[in-house]
Amino acid sequence: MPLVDTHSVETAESAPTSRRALLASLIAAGATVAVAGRASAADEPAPTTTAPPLHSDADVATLNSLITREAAMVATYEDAKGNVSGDDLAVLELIEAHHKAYVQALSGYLGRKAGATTAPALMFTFNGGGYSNLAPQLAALESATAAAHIDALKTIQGLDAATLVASIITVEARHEAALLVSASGSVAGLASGF
Amino acid sequence: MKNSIVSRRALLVNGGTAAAAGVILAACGSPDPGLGRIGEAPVATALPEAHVSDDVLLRTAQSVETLAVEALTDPTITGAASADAKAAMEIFVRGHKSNLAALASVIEGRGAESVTEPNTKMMTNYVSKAVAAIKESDDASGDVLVFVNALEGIVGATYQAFVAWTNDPALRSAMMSLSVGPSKFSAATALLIRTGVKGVVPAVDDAGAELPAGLPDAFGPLTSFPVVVGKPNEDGARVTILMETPSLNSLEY
Repeated sequence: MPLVDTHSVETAESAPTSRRALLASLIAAGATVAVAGRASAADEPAPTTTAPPLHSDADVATLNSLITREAAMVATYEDAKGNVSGDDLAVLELIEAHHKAYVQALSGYLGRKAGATTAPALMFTFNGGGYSNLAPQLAALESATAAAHIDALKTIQGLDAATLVASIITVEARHEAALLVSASGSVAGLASGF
Repeated sequence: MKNSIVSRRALLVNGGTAAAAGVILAACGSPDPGLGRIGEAPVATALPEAHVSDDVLLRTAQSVETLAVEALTDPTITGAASADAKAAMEIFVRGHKSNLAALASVIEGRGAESVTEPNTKMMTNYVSKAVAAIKESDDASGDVLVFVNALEGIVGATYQAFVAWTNDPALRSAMMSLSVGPSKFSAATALLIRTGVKGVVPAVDDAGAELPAGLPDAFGPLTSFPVVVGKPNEDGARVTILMETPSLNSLEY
């Protein structure tokens, strides 16, 4: 490579470099070094997997169906509450509040794409036996609702929606057990299925 | 000074440019071993890279289910349990074995290798400590229920936590179907501690401490599950174990 001597005459007009510009160039040089360092670290092969999306518009219909189911559970507990009192009523009020929270959480997640947040009550029969009569029926509805959520997870693409639905499933399973055990005083009812 | 070749400005310009060029060259160069030193430093070996795949999560779930079976059949636990608790734990063990069979089937179908041992870190940090404390407890039968309540809660929460890490939506669904049993067992155990409908609803004791409840939360929590068991020490404090779902250092890679 040929070496070339260059001579420049500095004048006030042509001098491109002020102290400020010099500092700026040093900072820029530092930044260049930092970028170069990162670039060399990035020589490793990048992972080829694609992370699941946090949100997917493809989930709207599925999540709206879950809102309808939860709204139906709210209406069901609203009806059932008229047949009990005292501590029994407190249990049904608590579980109803949970289902209301699920309606709100799911519709809040969908925002303007959320559908109806009310639905007719699901069927149950009241034969005058109070809580011990109602609780097993409500437990069966809880089981079916949890199953609906589990089934929905098969198609839910968005990770945020999936984690929300998962957090509902574990508690609806607890609803079922709490209703069964508190009504019968025994855990034997949990033995079915395995 | 008027005819000086190097002005203060030129000095700064050239000096700055040289410094910047030096930094760039230093960054591009390889480490220079030329400095004098005594002895040879061992060459660091990088740890093998571990990916949290769906198979890893399934294997970890196996290890957690096996942990539950081991804990619920531990002689100290079964020996201290009341008759009601023992009957309940027998049902729970059957449930966990059913989950293990389902997991083995899924793992085999994916061509992965099953795990037959309980989760080592959880066994060391949670189960062994709880068993040791219960062995010395003045209220061993009560402590067994407290421990089982948290243990079942953590097994159910493990599946819930894994949903966020699982790529395949169908597998998320399958895992959550396995969370149902342990979640039920946890709620049922809480109702063995506080019996009747009152045990369903959250409550606090006279000192303001939270009591076990069948339905403590509206949404499944992923926080730690506290277990306070064992004989009080001279200050009145008991062993407190904060049980948590598996983290990166307790997965079965």
